[in-house]
Amino acid sequence: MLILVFAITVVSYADFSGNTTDYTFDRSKAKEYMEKYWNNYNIKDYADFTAYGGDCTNFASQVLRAGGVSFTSRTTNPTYNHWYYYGPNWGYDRTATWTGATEFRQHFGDIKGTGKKRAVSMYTFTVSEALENFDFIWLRVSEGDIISHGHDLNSSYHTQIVYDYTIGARPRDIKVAQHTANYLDRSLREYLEQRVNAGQGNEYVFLIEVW
Amino acid sequence: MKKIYVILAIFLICGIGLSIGVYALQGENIWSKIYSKDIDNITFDDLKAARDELNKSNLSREEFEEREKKLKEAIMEKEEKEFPEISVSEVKQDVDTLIEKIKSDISFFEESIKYDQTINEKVRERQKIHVDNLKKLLSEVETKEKSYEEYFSEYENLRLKYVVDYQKLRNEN
Repeated sequence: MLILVFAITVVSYADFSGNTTDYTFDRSKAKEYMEKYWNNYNIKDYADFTAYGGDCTNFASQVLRAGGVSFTSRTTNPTYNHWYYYGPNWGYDRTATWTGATEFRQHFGDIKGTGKKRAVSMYTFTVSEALENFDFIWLRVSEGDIISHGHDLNSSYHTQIVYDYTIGARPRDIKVAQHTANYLDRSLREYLEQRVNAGQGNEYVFLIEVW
Repeated sequence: MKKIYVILAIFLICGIGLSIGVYALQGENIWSKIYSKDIDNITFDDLKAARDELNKSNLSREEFEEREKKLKEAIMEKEEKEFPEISVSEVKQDVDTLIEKIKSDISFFEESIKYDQTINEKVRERQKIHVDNLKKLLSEVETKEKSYEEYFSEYENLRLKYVVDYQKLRNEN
């Protein structure tokens, strides 16, 4: 009999589910969008930010939007409370939360307690802990959830979006989609191992449960 | 003649209705097996189909979470029964595997150099040096003139030197 009890080590867990989410989320539509645009940028609807610091968060935002996450209100001076895209220019047309990994995390989760906390929850692990507790993460993730990577707790440098999780394979893995270096099914386990290999074991990875 | 069309139409409607019914029953059947942990009678393909169906469902978040939890528990139980030993595929210790590892490291660091806006310039410069060193090592390893152990030792030396420098430089401005 399998006992699903994990003695996990986690830097922090923030449950935002008390906040009523102002959107519903269609995971199959989010997956379809990832499949269609992971290597074929949707330049008809969105600018490509690869040359402006990377396109990873722009792509994650597009996927969430395709899944049904609603835009917030528009303003000429958007903060972490806003998230929308009507055009490439920051301000009334686009928020920093749409394209910036740190700002995106502060909108859907938080940065040291301050944020819009629009998602359902956010787990913070060190990279080594995430690898040690990989089955726990596998158990928690659903397609369309966000994996954010940071060198410290105050910022994020990369955003990935969960495309799939393995069924019928051990060790278990989670496949993430991303832009900039384009992937549909990059192995999260391998990416975390690579970070540890590069001396980043004590740095951070954030799991944002979108819905 | 008209009667034949009517009879055919009735058969067609019944057939479609029956197919829908059987399909729905099969779907429900999988979920009842998942809920009762009847894992011997579920295949991994069934579990994948259940996941796809779940993703397409219009369940509320709470209902989705509950179903997904049951699904994942069933997957884990089945995997642990079918593959009791965690099959961490043993990393092959040969030159070809090392070549792939070095190439993968180069891509990882090039991604960081180009797009990571949160690292300082000293780290970025150190990463560039590391990538140059890895590229030089790669061209040597590709000749396969030395043993795996010798090349791996050179790789590890480079990696450890990088890690020490990275730890030192990452908090410098």
